Amino acid sequence: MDLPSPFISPRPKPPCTPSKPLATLPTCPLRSPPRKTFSPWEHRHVGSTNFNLLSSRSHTIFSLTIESSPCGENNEGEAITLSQLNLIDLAGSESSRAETTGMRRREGSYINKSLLTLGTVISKLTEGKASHIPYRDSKLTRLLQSSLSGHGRISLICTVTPSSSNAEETHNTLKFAHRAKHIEIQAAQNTIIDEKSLIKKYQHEIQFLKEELEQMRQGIVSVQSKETVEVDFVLLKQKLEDGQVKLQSRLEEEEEAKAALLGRIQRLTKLILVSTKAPHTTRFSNRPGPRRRHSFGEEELAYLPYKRRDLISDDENTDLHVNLEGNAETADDSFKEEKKRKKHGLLNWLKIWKRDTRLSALSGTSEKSCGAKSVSTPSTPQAETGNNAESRHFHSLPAQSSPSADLVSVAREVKEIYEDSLLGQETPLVSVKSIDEIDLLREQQEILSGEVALHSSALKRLSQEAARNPQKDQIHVEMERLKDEIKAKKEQIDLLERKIADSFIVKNKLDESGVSLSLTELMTQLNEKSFELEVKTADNHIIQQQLSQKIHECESLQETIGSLKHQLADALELRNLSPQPFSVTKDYHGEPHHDKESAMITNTNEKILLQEQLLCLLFPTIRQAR
Amino acid sequence: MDSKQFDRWSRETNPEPGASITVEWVSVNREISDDVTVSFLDQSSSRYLVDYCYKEDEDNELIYTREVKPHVSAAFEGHNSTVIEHGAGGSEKIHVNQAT
Repeated sequence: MDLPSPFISPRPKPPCTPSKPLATLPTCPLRSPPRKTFSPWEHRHVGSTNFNLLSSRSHTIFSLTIESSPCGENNEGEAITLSQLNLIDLAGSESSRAETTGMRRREGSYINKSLLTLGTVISKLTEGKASHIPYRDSKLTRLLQSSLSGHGRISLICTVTPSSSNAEETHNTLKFAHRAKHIEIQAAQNTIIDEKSLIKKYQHEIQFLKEELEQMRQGIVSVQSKETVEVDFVLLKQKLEDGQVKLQSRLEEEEEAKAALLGRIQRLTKLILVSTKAPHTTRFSNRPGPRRRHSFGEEELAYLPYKRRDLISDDENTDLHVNLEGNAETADDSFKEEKKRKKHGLLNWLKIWKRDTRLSALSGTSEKSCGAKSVSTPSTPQAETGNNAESRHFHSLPAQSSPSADLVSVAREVKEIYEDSLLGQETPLVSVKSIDEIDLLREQQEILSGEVALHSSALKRLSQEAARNPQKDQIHVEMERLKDEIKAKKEQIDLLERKIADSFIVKNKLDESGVSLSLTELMTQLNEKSFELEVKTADNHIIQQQLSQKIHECESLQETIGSLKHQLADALELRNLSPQPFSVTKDYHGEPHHDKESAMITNTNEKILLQEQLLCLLFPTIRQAR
Repeated sequence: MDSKQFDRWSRETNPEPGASITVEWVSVNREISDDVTVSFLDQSSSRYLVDYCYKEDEDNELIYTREVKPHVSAAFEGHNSTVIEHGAGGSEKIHVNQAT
């Protein structure tokens, strides 16, 4: 290596001379001898190494501070500038091969450390991030902080050697240079202020503030205008809100109205459903139907506002209910009527049975009544012959009234007879005797009825003879009536025969020896029947001929009483005179075989005589009347 | 940053006694007008971009006039300025500094 070359002193020409000396070094202008300017180089520490006898073992920093002010008297008030010039000679970056022991090695380590921190600082600055920059890790970086912070101008001169032995160091140097190239620096001028300069600065600040105040006032005006606009917006918002509130209230009202209408529709549909269903329910059960409807109607009244419609609907429901009730009532009535009919049927049957019994009793009573009437006839024949037409009308009227009275009297007589018969039944032997007596009484009654019949027949002949001359048609009518009476008598005879047959059966069982008696009884019954026929025919004539006067009725009643008394007396007498009735019956037995006309013609005289004899014997009072 | 790097090398032979012939293993490409690329023959992958590269023949006065003088004038105008010399040991840093 060559030693340093000889020195060449540069002579820079400053733009102006400084008015004041430097603070750090009491030096004269730059035109002074150059030796003094290079005095710091004397402090340079030098040592020998394997590569270089005079190797620098430390960094060298030459810092020059410059304070300048403008020239001339007029520019006294202006600012003064302050600047700093740093000339740094870094120690050489050494590798580990340089020196391995001794003082030089430690120096090398320190040198490398400072260089490393410088590199890291530069790399951090190039990154541009707001991260921590380790300026204080080494004094070198701390001194250079003001320069490296980006407010000064930097010139980095890197020296390399072409020898291949130092290739590693060369690479490192170039990397350093390449990395430093990316640092961004914004240089700025530094200034120092005096009192006058401060005054000027403050005045400038005052002006600036005034301008700001004016701007603020303008801003306030604009802000006020904005406020007015805001007020208008507020009013509009309030109006909109009020409108919204009103609309909401209207919507709510409409919704309520819709709800009410829907409710009405549902109720009406329910009504329709109920009306469709109601008749079925009412048909099955009549009672609960109307109750449900009434309750439903009440609900309708509670919910629906239109009272008239409700009333109309209620009336319709009530009408339907009434109709249904009417139907139900009709059904009930029909049931009741059926029951009543059933009851009537039973009563009718009972009544019919009772009537049958009464008819049997009437048959007996008719015989007795015939006897009574026959007694009354002989007293009236003369009057009858005089007024046939009138007598006929009168006969019709009393006939209607007389049988009722006769029936009453006959019923009483029958009761008396039965009571007597009951009293008589003390012992079986006595009972048999009483039966025989009863039979005898009956035979006597029949005989009497036969006699009455004869009298009536005689009266008829007389009436016929009298009537033949004036009116023949009436006679025919009477003949027809007689035929009808005869038929009725024949029917009665048949009934009597049946009774006789029954009595015969009973008597046969009781007494076998009584056969002869039964025969006699049969004969008597036959005679009785014949008499009955005659009696009935006479009764018909009597009814036609009777008068409507009360006197005749009283006479007939008296006669009946008399006849009953005589009958009782005759019965007592006949007990002693048993053979007489048999002879009488035999005489009358022969008559029915003969024709009526021939019998009347031939036997009229005989009959009259017999009748007179019988009447004299039985009824002495009649003789006295004649 | 107006930092500028310049390298200075000589064609002198190595002190090694073994070497008989000198070889240039450092090449400088100046095709680009603004920047210069420095690369090595053995390591083609590594290249370094610098502002300018001075040759061995150029004098220190030239370097001063170009690199240092503007900073001095700037300092007098009120700007902070810094000139840093960085290089391996024995790369003639002092010569440049003393020239200033």
